[in-house]
Amino acid sequence: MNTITVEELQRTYAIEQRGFLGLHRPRTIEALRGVTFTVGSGELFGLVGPNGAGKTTIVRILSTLLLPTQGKATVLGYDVATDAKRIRRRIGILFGGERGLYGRVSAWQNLRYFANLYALPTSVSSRRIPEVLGLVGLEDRAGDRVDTFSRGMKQRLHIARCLLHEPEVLFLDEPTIGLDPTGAREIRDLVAKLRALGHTILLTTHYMHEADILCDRVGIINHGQLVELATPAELRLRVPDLYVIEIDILEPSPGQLDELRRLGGPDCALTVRDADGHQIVRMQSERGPALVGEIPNALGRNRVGLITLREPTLEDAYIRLVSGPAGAEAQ
Amino acid sequence: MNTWRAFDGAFTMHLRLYTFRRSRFITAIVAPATTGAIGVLVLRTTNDSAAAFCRVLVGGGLAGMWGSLLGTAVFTLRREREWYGTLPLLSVVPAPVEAIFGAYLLAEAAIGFAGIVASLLVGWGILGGRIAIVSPDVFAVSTVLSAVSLGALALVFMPVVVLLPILTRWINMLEYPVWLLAGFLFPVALLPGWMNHLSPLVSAYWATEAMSGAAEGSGWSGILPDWASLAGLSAGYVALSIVLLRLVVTRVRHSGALTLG
Repeated sequence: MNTITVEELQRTYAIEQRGFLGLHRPRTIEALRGVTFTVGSGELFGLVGPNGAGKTTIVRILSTLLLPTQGKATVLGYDVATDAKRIRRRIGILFGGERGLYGRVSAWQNLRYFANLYALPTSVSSRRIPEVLGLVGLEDRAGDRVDTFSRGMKQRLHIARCLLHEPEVLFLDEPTIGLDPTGAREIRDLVAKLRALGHTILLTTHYMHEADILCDRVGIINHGQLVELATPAELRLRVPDLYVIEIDILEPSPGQLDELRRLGGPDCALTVRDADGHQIVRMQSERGPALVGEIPNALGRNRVGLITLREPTLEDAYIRLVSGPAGAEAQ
Repeated sequence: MNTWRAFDGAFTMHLRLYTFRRSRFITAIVAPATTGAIGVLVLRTTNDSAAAFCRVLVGGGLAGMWGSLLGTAVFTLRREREWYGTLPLLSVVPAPVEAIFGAYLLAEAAIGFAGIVASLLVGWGILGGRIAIVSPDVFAVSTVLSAVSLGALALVFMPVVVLLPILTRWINMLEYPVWLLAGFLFPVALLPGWMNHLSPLVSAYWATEAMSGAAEGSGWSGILPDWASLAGLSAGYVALSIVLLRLVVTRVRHSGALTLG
């Protein structure tokens, strides 16, 4: 049985822009353009996509914070537009970032407040608060003010908050955003633990590695549309004959990217990153092994450092699917 | 039960966050005490009535309470959204929003009791102990009812400033009409005739009447009409607030203003 269903979901925002002579011009932004997917009971479903793709809008609609402009969405069989109250009791929501907690009071007091807002009897909240704090590893900091917590600790406290009322469905919107690698790994371990406990989870992220190791299925969303929906393994297979070549260019100069694109052929995707005077260029091309030999000659041997050739990861597949062949330079 | 637990939680959280902040010392204690003191000093040049002094000191305390409540009503939504980032979370809990925000205002009114005490103590000091609360039990009940009614009045402003955001720029102009209509610092009989008809619609007027009356010695029976007016107006304000807050929540879900605002 599907726990979440999303059918042809559309959402537009009306905004006003200041135009000529300071006059306000109404403008419409299409955040979602007919998104359809389902999430099964106990599944960990990932929504990945670049900033502004529409991931958070989907979470806000499913968590009853926003109404869809068109289309239908249900959570646990209830319509998000008409049965918001029934849904709210049975879902937990985590919005990414540090905010969403009261910094001047303790972790315990934050959790007690939200337990009250979810109408947990005192006897239940007195049991649940230590349980969830233990689950996220904050039991020793329960009495400390939240504004003394690190970003990772705040994020773990957010998870504790959204587990308080034992929700069946969790919406985790970019839970690792802004965290250092250790903090991000702790959160990922926690998410895996929650899945093992039987929660249905919808996770949004733009870290492909995260989606790869955590999610049962991944939906790639771009410009408000779902462009792919498959397991991480299936997504990697969507680019079967693709190789990824990373080139360290020691002396970047104009025209080099055009030269690389010419070598890679019409389907070559390029990503460029600056690093201390170097340029790291990532090429995706079907001509991988042949290119490794050609690149030093084309760019000049003393201008090129290390060249590595590897199989594509989910991130490579994602870049290919979202940006298209020659469109990845902005990444 | 849902509503009560949410109310209890929000009331406690507001007290935890704001009772002992240094900045609150000015708004909750110094401001009402100063207002009461100025009132007494001005009044003393022309009047020597203990009842008039009592009225002005109670008015000073209520003026302080009203100022804090109005500030809370106007800025709470912005604070929850921009400072704490909790507004989206509060919007998707099962508890009704009116219970959460009503509790914040009632907690703020409870903090405002300190202002009433401060105003009375300062007046007592200036006048050398010449004022007294003649019916302390009636005064205590009147004070609680007054706090509830001012909180209910402030709750009306909370959705109104969302629906008409320009009002947040004119917060002081929202504060003083209530001072005048309630007769915090002088009897409303001194106002133009047409304003006298408006005063009974403002619960702060009945709060001033009830508390001043109790301080001057009105018994239970004399004060009952004031209490009935306070209770009736409070119920009306709360009903209106619920309608307006639900309208705001519906509009926000439609417009997405919480995310784009």
